[in-house]
Amino acid sequence: MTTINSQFQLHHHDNSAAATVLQTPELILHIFGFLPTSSLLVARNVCKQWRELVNLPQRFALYINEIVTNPPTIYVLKEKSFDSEGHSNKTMGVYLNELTARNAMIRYHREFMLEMEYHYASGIDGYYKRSARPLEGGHDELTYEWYVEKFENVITRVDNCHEREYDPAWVLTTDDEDDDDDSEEDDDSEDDVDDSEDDEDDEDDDNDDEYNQI
Amino acid sequence: MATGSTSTNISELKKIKLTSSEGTEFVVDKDVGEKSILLKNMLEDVGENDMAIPLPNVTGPILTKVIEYCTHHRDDFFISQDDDNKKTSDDIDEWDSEFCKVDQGTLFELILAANYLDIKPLLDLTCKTVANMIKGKSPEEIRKTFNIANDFTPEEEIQVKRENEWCEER
Repeated sequence: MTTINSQFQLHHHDNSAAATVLQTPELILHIFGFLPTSSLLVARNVCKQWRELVNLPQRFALYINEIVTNPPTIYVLKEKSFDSEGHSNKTMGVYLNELTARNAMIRYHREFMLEMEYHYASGIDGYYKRSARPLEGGHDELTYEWYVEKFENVITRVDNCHEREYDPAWVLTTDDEDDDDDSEEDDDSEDDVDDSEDDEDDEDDDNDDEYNQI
Repeated sequence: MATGSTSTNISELKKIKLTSSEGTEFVVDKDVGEKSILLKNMLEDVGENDMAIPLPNVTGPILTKVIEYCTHHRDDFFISQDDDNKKTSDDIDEWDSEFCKVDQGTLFELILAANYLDIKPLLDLTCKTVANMIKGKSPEEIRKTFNIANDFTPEEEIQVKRENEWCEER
């Protein structure tokens, strides 16, 4: 095949093909169809035509404008894992209110429970504790914890945020929830966050009991 | 045609003739040519015919590339899969990505040819390649890459700047 190619010497003197493609809405949109949203938002800012093509719904455009002028508080759910190598910190999701962030955390917590039950049939209590604790049966010492970080100002990055530690009480108080009532409970537990470290040892037994009920 | 009767699949032996914009004649197997929906429909309409099909929009070098692509993929089922879940540019296989290592002009001509000849998989492949050239670039870099003029008014530019700052934070 290369011989055929070299025979014809693929070189082109004009950029008219590029210009034609980049000015044909159907073709640009076909290309845009393969882009993730983040790249589409950048493409909007290339030229007028592309901006029109990536026509954000008015509401979303207003939303971006709103975010830029008046940055909201967001909540980032982080997963910390510890093993013999050290620890890693992974962002699991970004949420616009604390309740959804916490509900997501509960979901991860549950999934994790199922996973751990599968891999380590016994001796896995305590992995949702705030402190890192070795697991029995694993090759590495591996502990996970989740916490929600609150970012007061999205635009000025991580440095200015204050961290909100993961509190197992959140998970456990909302665990039996059926959606409606838990917001109040959450608010209560939120205030306890800073104290919870001291109480932790006392809470351990309770937590384990509640976990076993699930 | 009569000799074809010994073959299990007569259509495999059939050839069609194409003429590029410069008047160069190309002879290709019918099943390769029929990867192009345009040609397929044309052949169905015209029926048995030895006439060369003129393709005034496609140059020889580009037609060569197109035939190379269709020949490589001649046994693939070109299912018109429009499942939007799979719309990503990360699933290009090795041969295809090697095929797309051409200069930008050629790549865009291939897009035009694939669009004209109605070869959806080739159109997808080439558009994905362009999408990959857009990904991860700033608006200014994109303009440079594709030689696009920044035609925003100063007022629009302010809004654009704000959005860019916002996007960069992501």
